[in-house]
Amino acid sequence: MTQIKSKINLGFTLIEVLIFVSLLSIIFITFAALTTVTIRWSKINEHKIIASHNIEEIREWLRGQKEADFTGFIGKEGSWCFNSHEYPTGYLNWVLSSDPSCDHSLDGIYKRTVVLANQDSDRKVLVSLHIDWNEGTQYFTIDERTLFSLHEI
Amino acid sequence: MIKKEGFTIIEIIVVIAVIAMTLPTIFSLMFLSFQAQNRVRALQNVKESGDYAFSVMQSLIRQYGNGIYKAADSSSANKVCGITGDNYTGRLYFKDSNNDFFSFSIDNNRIASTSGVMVYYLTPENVTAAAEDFVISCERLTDFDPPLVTIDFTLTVGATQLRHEDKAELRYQTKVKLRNID
Repeated sequence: MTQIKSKINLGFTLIEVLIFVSLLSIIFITFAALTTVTIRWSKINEHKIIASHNIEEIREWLRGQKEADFTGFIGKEGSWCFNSHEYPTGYLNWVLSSDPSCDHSLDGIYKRTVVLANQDSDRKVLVSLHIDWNEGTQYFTIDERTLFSLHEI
Repeated sequence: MIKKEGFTIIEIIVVIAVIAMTLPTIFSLMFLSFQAQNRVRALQNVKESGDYAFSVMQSLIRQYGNGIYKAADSSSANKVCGITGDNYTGRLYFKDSNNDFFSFSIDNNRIASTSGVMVYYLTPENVTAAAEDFVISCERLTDFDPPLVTIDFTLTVGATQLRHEDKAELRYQTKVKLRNID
């Protein structure tokens, strides 16, 4: 009498399991990486919007200074640092951009500087606004230039 | 004949454990992503609305304001910021070249521009402007200079929302000099 021994294996082979696990890992890692990049870019966009508002804020404040006292304003030719939303009450309290306190402390990440250059026999002031900040290893800046004149048309 | 069917309890436990570790990570990543996107959307909303209202107010005051009054009545008793050193904080009525008045105020938590009986909203319904943070004032520095108008307001999106990422607030402030004076 011959005894027939047969083994029916209904499970997966090692290769099948490895392929499945590899595919699953690739999908998961890709998804995680994409989501992380999305979060990172959302944060960068948020900081860009706030930076752009901060540039507009200082431009409008400077415009107010110019409108209120043009003579005093043209006397401030130079490079200045405005790292606070509380603006100086007098011209004497302006902080030079070369001051050691002029670091990335505006809203915790930004450094905001302004260069004022008189033009046209002190009838106009070229205002160069600059803000920069770091996002990890990436460095971002926004620059804007505008011309203030004694009488705006 | 040995026939093996189905999974062992160990296999099932291992699979459930792996899923239990993976799923929360995926969902927390998705949640963080949605949170960050909501924050950007809220900021964009408030900035768009603020920039628009700010620009309209500045250009209307600068271009069309010929005189400033504390009521929509051009009698000299109502005129403010007409002489050197004069200043006024409150609702300002700007008189244009046709002797019509326009003003800005907060109506239903929105910035409203009123001209005659017409009211134009400068901010959308979902953007809130608090009346206590809305200040328009004027001052007259010299008789040779037109009045200087200070605009100051704060806009908020999602003020009633519980989640901080749905909230955004921006402050707008500037000074505008009238181009023409009567």
